[in-house]
Amino acid sequence: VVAASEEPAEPTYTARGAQSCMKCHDQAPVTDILKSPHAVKGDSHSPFGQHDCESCHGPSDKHASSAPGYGAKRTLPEVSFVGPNVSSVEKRNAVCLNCHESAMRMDWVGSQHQNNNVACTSCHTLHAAKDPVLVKASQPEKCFTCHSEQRAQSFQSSHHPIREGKVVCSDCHNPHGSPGPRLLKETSINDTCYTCHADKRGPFLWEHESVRENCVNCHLPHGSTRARLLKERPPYLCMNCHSNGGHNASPYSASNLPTGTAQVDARAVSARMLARGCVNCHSQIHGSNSPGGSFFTR
Amino acid sequence: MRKLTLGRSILLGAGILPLTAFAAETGFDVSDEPTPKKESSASAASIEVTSGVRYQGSSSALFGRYNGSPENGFYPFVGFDFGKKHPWDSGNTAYFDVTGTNLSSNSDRVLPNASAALSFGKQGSWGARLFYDNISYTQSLTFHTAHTETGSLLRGTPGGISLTGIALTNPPNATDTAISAAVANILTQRSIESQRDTFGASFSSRIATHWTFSSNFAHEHKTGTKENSLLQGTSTGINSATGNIIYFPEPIDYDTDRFTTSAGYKTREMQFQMTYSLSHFINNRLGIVVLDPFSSTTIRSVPLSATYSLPPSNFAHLLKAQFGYNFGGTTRLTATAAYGVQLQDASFVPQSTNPSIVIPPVPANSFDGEVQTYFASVMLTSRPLRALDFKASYSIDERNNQSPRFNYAPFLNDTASVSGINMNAPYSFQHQNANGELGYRPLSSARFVVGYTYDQYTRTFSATNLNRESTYYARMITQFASELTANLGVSYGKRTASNYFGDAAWIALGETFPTALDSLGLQHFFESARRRDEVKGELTWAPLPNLAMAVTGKFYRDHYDRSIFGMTHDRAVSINPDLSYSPVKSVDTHLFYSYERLSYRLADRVSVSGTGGTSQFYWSLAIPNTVHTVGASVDWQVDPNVKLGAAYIHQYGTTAFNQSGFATGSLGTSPWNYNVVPLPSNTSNLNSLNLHADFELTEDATMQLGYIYERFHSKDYLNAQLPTSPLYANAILGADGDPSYNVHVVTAAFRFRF
Repeated sequence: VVAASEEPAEPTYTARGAQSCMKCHDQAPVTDILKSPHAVKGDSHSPFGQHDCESCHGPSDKHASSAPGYGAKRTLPEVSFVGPNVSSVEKRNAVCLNCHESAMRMDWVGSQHQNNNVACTSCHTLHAAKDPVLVKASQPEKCFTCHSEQRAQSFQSSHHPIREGKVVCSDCHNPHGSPGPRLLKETSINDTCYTCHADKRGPFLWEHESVRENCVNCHLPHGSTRARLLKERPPYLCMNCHSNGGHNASPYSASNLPTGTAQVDARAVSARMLARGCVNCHSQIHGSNSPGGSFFTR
Repeated sequence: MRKLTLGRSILLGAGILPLTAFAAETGFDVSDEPTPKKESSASAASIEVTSGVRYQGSSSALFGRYNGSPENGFYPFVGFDFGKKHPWDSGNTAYFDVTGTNLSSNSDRVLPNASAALSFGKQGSWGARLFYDNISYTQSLTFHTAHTETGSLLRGTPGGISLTGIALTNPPNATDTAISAAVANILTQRSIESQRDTFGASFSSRIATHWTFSSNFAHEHKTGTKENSLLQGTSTGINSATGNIIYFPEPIDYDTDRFTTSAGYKTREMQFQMTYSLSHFINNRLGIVVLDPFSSTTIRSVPLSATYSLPPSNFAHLLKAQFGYNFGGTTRLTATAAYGVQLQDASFVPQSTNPSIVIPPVPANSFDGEVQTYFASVMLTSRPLRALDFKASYSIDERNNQSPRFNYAPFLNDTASVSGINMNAPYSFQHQNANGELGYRPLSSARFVVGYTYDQYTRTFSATNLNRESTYYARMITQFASELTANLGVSYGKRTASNYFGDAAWIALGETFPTALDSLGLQHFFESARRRDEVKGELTWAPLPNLAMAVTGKFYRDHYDRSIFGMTHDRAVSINPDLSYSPVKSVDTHLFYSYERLSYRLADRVSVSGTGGTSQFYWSLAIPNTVHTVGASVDWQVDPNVKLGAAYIHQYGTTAFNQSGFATGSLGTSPWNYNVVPLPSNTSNLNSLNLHADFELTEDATMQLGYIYERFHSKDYLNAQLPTSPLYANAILGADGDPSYNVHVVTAAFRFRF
């Protein structure tokens, strides 16, 4: 939200629009905006369909027309997006929201990124034919600039195909704000996961409560050194909730590996210490639709 | 100032990002150095074709997991980008763009990892897009199985695998050894992989001055196999002469249709959008009948096969309305309301195919499951004074499960039904969240925030039907100077669980001996009482135009105060320093380090009764997972026509299992005093080096060369597990083996612009 005191001044636009600007600003990357969707004169909704460069940089007739005196500095444009005289984040963002405060950006105000003073131009490059953050192959690098923990997690052996350029952050997150948790595109974590993993959606005849409630009870979506993005490996992951009785309470340890020493009943190996642990038998752990599947085994 | 980022070089450094993607999506000049040429008004038309070949020196399922090239060999590829946009000042808004990436095929796969898109339209009026995308997934190249993906036995019904006399002791007896040898003879190795092919179209148009309409449809076909296992026989696991665990390749034959259509209205003051979306998941197979390779024995009254259900087809409809209103530029109100229905009515598979038991009737032939979802949120943000802002929000998210609830005879496997869980529990949840936040700016460069969040969870069929959580937080967001910013946030949260009674969840399922499962002291961590402390911070400093440094950090810890057993604590720490430096204009360097530690603490107790009385064995386990990641990259624009780059990643991860225990009670120490021998730590070690060079041969032709060396070493006790062993002769494991790899990749490509 922009404070009332920062309302723009009375507009005074240059007479010739972009032609005036390009007298001086005639080199790339400034002129790369001419290759972008923002610079389409015939589209009255694009900046160049209105006041050209000044649609974003503000009415800048003074900046363009008044030559500074000797030793004096040129009047600055209304809004600067880079450089030592960069305008405040609020002022810059207000320019963008003037056109873009709709659809997926409706919840920008009050969002985590807005609260942390992130500017639209911190992520978006306007003076480019293709904004890199809108390109699958280059989006993660932009997000990782600040989210360095997630960058490291993306290199872990179990990960979504972010490194491979097939899944990007914005497949799950809406960085512009969300009424749901964690800037997710959907209104819940599970509904976000079901977008790609619809086979896990059900509803199932036999449901696993912790699965239905929150996928991240068991999984780390940004990367894990355990297989299947798991927080811990079975049987210990399962024993966080299923303990204190029955076969799920035993102190499974190296004794129960094939290399272990003889234990109870002279058996060394426990099925819970082989392969996928508890899931070896309870393999329908996300839910079962078999009438005989109440133990998630069918 | 320019913040240099690790970016693409590091992604390439992982050796995975397809070179065509690199070529197609970036210009040659990645620096922000101006190109000294005048911009003309000429039509912006371009045709760009990239063609090359990639040679991979060795095979690895893990290295090639998502890029469609797990096997060694040559991989030719083609990419293109053909687009046209009229001069910016021409008044003509028509455009089109056709792109294709990683168009290739090999003997096993068609278009692995490929994508293509055609976009066209008249900007400001309408736009359309057709697209194709492929995501391949390789789980294993060395999966051991006796089965095909139809559940039949690959080498027919084996003879001589009788479990008679099996002991599964340590050391194994002669029968154990003989059975394991016979099992080995029926096993084969195969790959486990799947592929998603997605086709789709989208359309958007401006239907009136303030109105837009958009619609998109995508159809995805997913095919292949995934690794799965099931319990066969008459008992529960491998420590039995009459039960087995069988790994088999589960068939994947899914079709998913997604359709979304929305209409939006927008003025500077008010925005509104209405969206309908449909997701229809179709599994073309209801279930799979897995033949039991151990059924040749006549001594066991066990079935010859097991029927295993596959994920059921389902629908999800969602209707969502979003609203936003600006009051005079200083206050904004947003609201969202959504209603969804999730349906599932796939036919049931039989409980069992065992001819020797009487299958109890089921209440219906299909589930007829229905979940209704409700979501509503409202948020008011305002900055009434220059120095003061506030935010207030409320949301409610509900999953109302309307599915029918019946009694079903429970089956663990394919013998007669067992006691225990016999009634399905259609779980319903509701989560309400209320938040209030006050921000104060004593200076234009500093903002202090305090806030309070209240969360309330209600559930059905659960150990607790009510969680309440209060979280208090404070944040500081400051910019000390244009080159120095610091953010710090702290929070404290306390969650209560009303009338927590673990057995209630089991009783709801018809369990008749719940106290043996969840007696007092065990609480499920996701719904138990909890205290959480959290600190997050970020510091960025750019003392010079060519030097930027940043460090982010996070710490949280959870105490589950009422939990004596199960998870009692968890905590996480991460610290991530990062440095970008450009010693000269043509050289960018980047260095980062990341430390992450996640740890969980688990406690448990085993009670054992015997002739001498009762003993209890108490034990605990702490599992710290630590990962260190270091990355470095350098990009050098040698001259306008030559660019060189190098990136290196090292990641070392370790998981320790710190386990201990002690016994109490009248049974003494033997044999019930479990011999707890801590597991060996698991480690993973990744080293990845990427070298790449771009040579602009002419204005329209670029040669790209790349070399990747990547080594991953895994030390994990699971790596050594064999598909069959005399110690578990009645089990067949997938036994993918050690995922470690050592891969060299050489890539050469030419990019032509026409």
